[in-house]
Amino acid sequence: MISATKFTQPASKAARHFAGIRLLSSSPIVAAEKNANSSRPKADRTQSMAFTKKEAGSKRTRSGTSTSVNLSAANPAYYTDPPKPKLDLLSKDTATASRLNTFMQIDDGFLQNTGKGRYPGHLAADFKLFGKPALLYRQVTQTLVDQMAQNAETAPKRATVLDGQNGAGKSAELLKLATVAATSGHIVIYALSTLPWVNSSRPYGPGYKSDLFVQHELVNELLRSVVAVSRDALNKVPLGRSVTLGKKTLESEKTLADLIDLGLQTPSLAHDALDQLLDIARTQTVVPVFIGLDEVNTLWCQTSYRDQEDSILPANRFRLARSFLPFFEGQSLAKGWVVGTTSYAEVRFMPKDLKTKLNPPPAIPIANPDLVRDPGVSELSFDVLKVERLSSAEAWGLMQFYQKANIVTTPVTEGLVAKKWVYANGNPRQMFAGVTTYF
Amino acid sequence: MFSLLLRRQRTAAIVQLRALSTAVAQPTTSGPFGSLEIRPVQRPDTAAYFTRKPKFYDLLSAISNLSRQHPLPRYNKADYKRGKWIPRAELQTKLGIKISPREHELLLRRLGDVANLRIADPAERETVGLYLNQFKRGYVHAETVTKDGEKAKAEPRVKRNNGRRGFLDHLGRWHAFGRRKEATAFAWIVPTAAAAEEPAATVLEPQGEAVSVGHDAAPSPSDDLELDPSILLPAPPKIIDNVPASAHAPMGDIIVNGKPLADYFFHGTDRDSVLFPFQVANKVGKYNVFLRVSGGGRTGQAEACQLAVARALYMSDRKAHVPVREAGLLRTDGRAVERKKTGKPKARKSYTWVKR
Repeated sequence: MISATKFTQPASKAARHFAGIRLLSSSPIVAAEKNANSSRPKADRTQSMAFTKKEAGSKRTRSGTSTSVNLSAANPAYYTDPPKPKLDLLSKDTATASRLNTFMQIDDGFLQNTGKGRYPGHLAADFKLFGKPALLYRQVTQTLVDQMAQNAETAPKRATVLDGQNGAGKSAELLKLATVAATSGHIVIYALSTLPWVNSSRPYGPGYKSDLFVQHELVNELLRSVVAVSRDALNKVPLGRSVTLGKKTLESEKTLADLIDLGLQTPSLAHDALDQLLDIARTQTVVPVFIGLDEVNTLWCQTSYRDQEDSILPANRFRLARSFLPFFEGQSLAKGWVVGTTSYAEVRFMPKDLKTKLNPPPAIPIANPDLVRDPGVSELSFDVLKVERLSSAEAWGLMQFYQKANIVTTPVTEGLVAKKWVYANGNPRQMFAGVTTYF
Repeated sequence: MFSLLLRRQRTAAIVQLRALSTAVAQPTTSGPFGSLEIRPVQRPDTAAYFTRKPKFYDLLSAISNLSRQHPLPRYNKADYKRGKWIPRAELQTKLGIKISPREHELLLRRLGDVANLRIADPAERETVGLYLNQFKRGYVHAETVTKDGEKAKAEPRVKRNNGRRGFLDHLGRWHAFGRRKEATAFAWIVPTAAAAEEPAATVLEPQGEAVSVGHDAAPSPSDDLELDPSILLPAPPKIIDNVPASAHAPMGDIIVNGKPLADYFFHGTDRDSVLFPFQVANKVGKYNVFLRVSGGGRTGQAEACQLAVARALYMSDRKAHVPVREAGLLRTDGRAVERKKTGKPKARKSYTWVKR
């Protein structure tokens, strides 16, 4: 109901216009009423109160953002705080066999520095439900950590690529390995996803006086993450020779950290800085280096980028991919380890040839004469480590954590673990899906 | 029928027939026909001669006589097991005549009566038992005579492997098949090695942590008495186990048409169907399962797999897997799509009809 006083003292411009004249419409009055009642909060039309916008990208790559709930108005009986189980932080000291089959927290700072809120593979959904980034410490993790400690003294001649089924935990293993490497004082060059390098989602352009294409923004991000994660290690390594980037020259006493800082100051020099970084880091023996590339199959694929003549560009026409390719094709480090993981999520970026080599048909020579001619695996220029499905003990550890995190509400029994394991064939991602069907 | 037979024996016609045959059979010495040789009238051995099926009624009366000779026990329905006796088709073949279901039922009831007799005399009891044996289901009369004329032992009956019930095949796998809708599934199941073994020894630490010395631990020096204790290697460090010792036992695989269960059946409900018999028996992950399935859709295939697995699982240990039977998993679900009827668009749906 509108009061008489407000009626006689219209506040809005529209109402003033009609003052003294017989009102034909009620809209000025309504406007006046709205303006007068200034204590009421204004509706923010730019942000929905009910839903959050879905993330861009395919369903597979989305992190599972769902409806957000206004907790101030929600029934507290239904919306209780999720339990936050106390977990040990994964680091050089805690990565021991005594932690097998337990969950360990991943350093949030490391994830922020490397991914800026993005997580490798499909792990975002898991971390969201756990309330914190946490991963299972598996037997294969222990093997990789032991191998990395060994490689910190003498690097192997070939890189290692983690391969396995979708959801087997390849990206998770690489993330754990990179975390441990960062705390062990390695120079960590870690890309949690190389899909943007090839999927035409980021800026690119032809290089100056070169037939290669450049991706300044991506390289800049990578250098930023390297320097944020391992500045201490970079500071220990002198350049050993004078390095010229553009118009500036760095003396040999300067360190790798200075080199990266210079590269970051001028985006167009980022590629040069990365190449110099990799070249110097490869040969130095002061600090071990860890190079970890997720979805490494993108280095050999046909990209979604196109050149000026609209023809598809292969990955080796990009300077960024070209920088890392030698490490997976025979070039070795003086100290450290080069590790990559494959991904079958985006089949267009998994070359058929590589897929066949990684997963050769069953070795039945009589039935399969092609296999005798082309064994496949021997031609690969890197070592392949298969990440197998969860063992029964690992599945038990997984379910125990799920119960602590209130994802599973029933007691963890042998029958429950066995059912979930058989249901998912021991695949960690499918086991997660099996217990979160109704979430 | 039997009472009818008895009544017929008492009829006047039969009495007359008997009197006539007696009179005719005895040659008279006196009279004009004294020297004549009159052929005696052919007289049937039993009254069953006059029935439509003398063989059957002879059998029936013989068994009835047995039961009449001995007092009948109190009637107990549980003792009358139809499945114990010869099936009708076999009886027909044996006797070479047609037997109606009602007649078969009658015979089985009599056989049941006789089988339940409490015969005091052991010899008599054995004789009756031997006589009844030939009417038992699956009886094979295999009597061979050796050169010396002695009776050799009857050859043991070769059991036919029945896939509907499940059986142990020559490779030691429990095998059965199942059907659902248009799908047919064959299952082979083998218990995992770990399921048979005992779990590894578990020691409880004072902190409450379970310490396993099981799967990877080296054998303790006390096992080998020849070792000199002075040259013993230091004991391997105990690994604090974060899961129970029993959790280390490897779990069995389920392979469907060469693919893991999770890869073959995309929907969770289908996977649940296949796993359900194991879940009921509390044996999930305790068996390696190999399934071959064809025909039908995914749901039909999953439920056919369920039936095949349930049958094989039940046969592997009937006593332990009674819950499988009690859950009704051994029965074929015979439901199928109802056929379309002429004059209707579907099985039951009707076309729209108005009076005018």
